[in-house]
Amino acid sequence: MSFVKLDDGHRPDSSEVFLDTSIHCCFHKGETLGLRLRWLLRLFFWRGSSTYSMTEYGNVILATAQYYLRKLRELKSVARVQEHLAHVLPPQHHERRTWAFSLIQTLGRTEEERTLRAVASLRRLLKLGTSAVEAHCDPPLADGTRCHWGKTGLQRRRDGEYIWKTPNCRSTNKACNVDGFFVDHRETFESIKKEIDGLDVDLLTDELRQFSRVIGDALAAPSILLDYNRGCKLLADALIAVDSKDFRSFATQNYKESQVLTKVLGQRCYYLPNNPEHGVAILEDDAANAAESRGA
Amino acid sequence: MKWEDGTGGDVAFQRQVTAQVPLEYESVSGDRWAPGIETLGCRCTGEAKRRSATVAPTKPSVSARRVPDRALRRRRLYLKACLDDLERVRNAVDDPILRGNSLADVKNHLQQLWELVEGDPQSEAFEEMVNVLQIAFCIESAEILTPRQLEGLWSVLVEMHHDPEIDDEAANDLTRELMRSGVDVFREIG
Repeated sequence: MSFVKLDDGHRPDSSEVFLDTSIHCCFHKGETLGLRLRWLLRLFFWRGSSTYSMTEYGNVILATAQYYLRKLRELKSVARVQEHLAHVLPPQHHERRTWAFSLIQTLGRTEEERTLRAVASLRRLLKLGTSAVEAHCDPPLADGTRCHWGKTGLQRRRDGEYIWKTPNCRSTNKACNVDGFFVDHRETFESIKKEIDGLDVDLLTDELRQFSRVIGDALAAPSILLDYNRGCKLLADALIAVDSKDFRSFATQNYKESQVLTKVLGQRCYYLPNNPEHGVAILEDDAANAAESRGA
Repeated sequence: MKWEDGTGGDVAFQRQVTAQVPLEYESVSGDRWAPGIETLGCRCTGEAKRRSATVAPTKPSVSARRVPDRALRRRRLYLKACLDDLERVRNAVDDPILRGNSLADVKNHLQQLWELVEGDPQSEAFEEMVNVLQIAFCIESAEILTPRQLEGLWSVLVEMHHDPEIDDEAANDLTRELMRSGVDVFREIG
């Protein structure tokens, strides 16, 4: 399997595409990625996603917005926040260095105005919450897991501040259908596990190993998935992938995991690398291509 | 005071006038005639109560509104100007100069609107929406905006002009509307 860069003449196999959580996060990753993302989305008439992506979007985007907002209020300047992120944050927190506030630098004439605008933008992003996932897609979202946290994770404090709460679901207090979803798609999850277990060591990632282990545990007791930290969090991308099984095209930024998952689910995998030089890529089956060219 | 010994029958009846106490509320139940007296229930006879039930629920009184009317009128004024400018942007397809000038006018009017509400804690949602619109119009030429995006921006401006005192819920609806029409709402962050 290898990724091939797409050209303007590409025609997708289906009219619909499923957006992975990483794609929802791409909408906040700057202009160069945004342009390629829009180009990719224009190839399809219908965009779908999963309600489980709302929880992941909250964990990534809303939590980051909350962090930036807190820092902006502490340091009272966008420039100082960026300086803090570049020079003070240790390398292990590199994921915090996500936003550049590029346009705010253009719009704001003084540092005070730039800071006010950055605060207004982050506040709007937080208040909009996970419904941004729905707004990027055509309704309804796939809702196999009936994940409730995506809709309740954003809370408003007494002082009016919006905060994203990290999920703390417990198997003793069932609030979703993740275990039922697993049971309904047991065979698909078994196939995923089988595929991962058969992979070469150099293709295995920590996340794929984790999928295999959690699927193995859940096959024995599906209710373990109800516990967020020990269950569904560790299987998140696989749950979203199985929720996308009705779609023939799958767009993602996590190619290492998605190339395995889309193979099992029989989907075309569209990969959007961060590096603009690589454009937009599609996963091609080398063996099938070779057979086709031999036949031709 | 002079003491008069009598039954009172020959004294001309003097109507007692109730003390007029200024009230801070409009009561229709009858309680206004006995301010300060706390009773378990309403002291009305029934007629007033019946009348009170017919008082139609209305919008919050002018004094209860957070944003003064004068400020709302100014917002409407700028929003109307933005709508006029945007209409020229939409109509002047064959005239790039008029289009460019109209786009610059939209940006100017939005900037004036921003300066009107900048940092006002009572206008948070409105301030956020003006910021969103300014980011959406932060482009070099009007040709970059697709007809669908222009339609979405127009519709949001119309809704804001209709009710310039927007709350968080309304701002969320407007943001979603922009996103659905293909406007890259949070591109300033990235």
